[in-house]
Amino acid sequence: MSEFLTAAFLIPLFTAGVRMSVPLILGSVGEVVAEKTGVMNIGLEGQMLIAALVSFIGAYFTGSLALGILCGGLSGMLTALISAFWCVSRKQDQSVVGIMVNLFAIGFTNFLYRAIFGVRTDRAKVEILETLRIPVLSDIPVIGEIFFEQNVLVYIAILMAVFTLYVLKRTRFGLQIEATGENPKAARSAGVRVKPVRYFGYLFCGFMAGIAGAFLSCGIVGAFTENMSAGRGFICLAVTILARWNPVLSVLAALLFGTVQALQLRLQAMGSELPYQFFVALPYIVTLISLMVFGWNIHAPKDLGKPYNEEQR
Amino acid sequence: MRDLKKALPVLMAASVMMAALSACGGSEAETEAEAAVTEAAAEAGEAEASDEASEKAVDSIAILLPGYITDQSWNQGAYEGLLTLEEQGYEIAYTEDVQSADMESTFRTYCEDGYDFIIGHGVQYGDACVRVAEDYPDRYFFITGNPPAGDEELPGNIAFYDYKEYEGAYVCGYLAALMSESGVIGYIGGGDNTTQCSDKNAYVEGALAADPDIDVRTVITGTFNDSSIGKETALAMIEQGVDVILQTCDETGLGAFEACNEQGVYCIGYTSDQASFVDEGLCLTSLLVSVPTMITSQIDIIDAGEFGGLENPGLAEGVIGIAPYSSAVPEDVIEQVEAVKQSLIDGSLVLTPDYTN
Repeated sequence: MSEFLTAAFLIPLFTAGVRMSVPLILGSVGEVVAEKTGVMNIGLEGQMLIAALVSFIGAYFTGSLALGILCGGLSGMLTALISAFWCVSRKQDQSVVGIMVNLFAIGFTNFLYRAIFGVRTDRAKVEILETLRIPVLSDIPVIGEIFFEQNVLVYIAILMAVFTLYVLKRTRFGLQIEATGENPKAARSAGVRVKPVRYFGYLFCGFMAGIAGAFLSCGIVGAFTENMSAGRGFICLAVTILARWNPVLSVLAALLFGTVQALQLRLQAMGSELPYQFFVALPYIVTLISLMVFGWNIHAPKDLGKPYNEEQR
Repeated sequence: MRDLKKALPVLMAASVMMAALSACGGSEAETEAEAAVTEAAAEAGEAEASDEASEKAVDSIAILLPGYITDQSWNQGAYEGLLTLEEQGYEIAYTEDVQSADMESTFRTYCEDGYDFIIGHGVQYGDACVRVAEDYPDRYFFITGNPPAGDEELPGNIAFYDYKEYEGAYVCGYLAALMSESGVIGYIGGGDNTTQCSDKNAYVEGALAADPDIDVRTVITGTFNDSSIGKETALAMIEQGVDVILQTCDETGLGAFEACNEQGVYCIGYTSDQASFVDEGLCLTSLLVSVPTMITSQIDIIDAGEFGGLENPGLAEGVIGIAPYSSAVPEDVIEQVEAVKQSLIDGSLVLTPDYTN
């Protein structure tokens, strides 16, 4: 047991945990905002996957990671625009549209990747984001190494979570978002334009999912591999609930998942009598248990998932 | 306006269909194959089709793949084999990412569409294939893995190919142990099918044969296409002092290669020679599985009328191989490893595969 409680084990564990939670933080912060406006963006997974490819293509051909990541964000936004059109303007079922986007993304990314790079034996690669040490802060023992020796998207993810919380809780626009998700008719009669707010929810979530996808391809692996989002978009949906629609809590929830994931890989490597399935399932088991423990008295946005119909009483 | 609303679900259904179609592929070859499907289906409807086919036992080939044809590994190898056959004038088709729920229906669809020779690329397709093969006795089926466990008699129109990939894994383990300075080496696998398990166990066995004190760390990621998990797995191992890693998990493994490249740690490739993916010298060798030959050789066997049953090729038959060693491997190590390889080839060393995970 003592070998687990050494700095040599714990610091890299949490550093990896932070790294693995970043796509979940970005995605769930976006999802919190979308769900606060009353729309459920199930297509998050698809937006992440499309952005992983588009950001890679952007970075590969322009030679600039920043441009690539921006392209990723925009492509996520564009994909979300499709969902927004169907669900907000055309009032279709949000889950069905979301699933459609996810299915579309798998086929579309495979097609686009092959159209551009072909089926080849060498590998298209980009340099990954460099580690950016924050002066002063990175000198703090333990915490500095874990949180302040990461790449730039890690800081952006955490700052975005704090900024989003501020907007939601302290600004007029935040109040409008909340009202739209709780009771769109009341919001409408108070002068809030429901549809644009819901469009914003989708687009913001799409952008964040896009950055999350870019983190996978340009931040970690440096290449695109097919279906590389591998279900992270769906984990974001769970993280959003676990975080009770609070962007800062979603950082903690995502960190929990990411750290347990990092832990299971290490435990497996250390050798154990338990079957490997136990370790692979561990992050999901922990998420489920924490949903049971912290899941009481949960208050979802009241109008979540329901299309808003202006003409209807 | 009202009409438009009615049309919407139809439009959405159409777009889902398009997505599904593009999920099946998208390259030019695929479009041709799609066209071929319709042609073949039309032909199969007519009785004359069987007369035409009689001069050659097989003229159309379809394959079910567990992953994507761009994985530079297991699936891409199969695709390359398929392309060779296409050049020889066969009609080809493939479906990617066929998971458990879709296996049987995909087999049946290809049967209905008139394909003569249908391949399930991986041991996991065995059960579904046996169920389908009984209903289509005039078609040929091929599984690139060993038959499903059990005493039931298997249909005669299925061939199994239980290649001894573990022989290669044993040699890789031997090499890894000799090359390790820290005395800790790693193995990253994707799943728990019999091929993967026997690879893992043979790698450990080979390493222990070279150095009885070696410490082998093994991780099964549970996925073949999550490259970032692959990278994190390798990083976790490197933290624990691992300095040579063998991966046998396709795209997940590409992520592991990225970690080895970043940390300057030795790695061993899988299926094809993957030396070009990392800096010069880092990729010690690759565990080669000659997937294209696996598929193309079956055609000759069918034509010779000897199809069916179980084959057991390995290093000796050239189906499993060891890629050229990198410049980092010293001469004396090469000699020792080659000696082990030779003893497996001439049969003086016989391995018993261990399928426990």
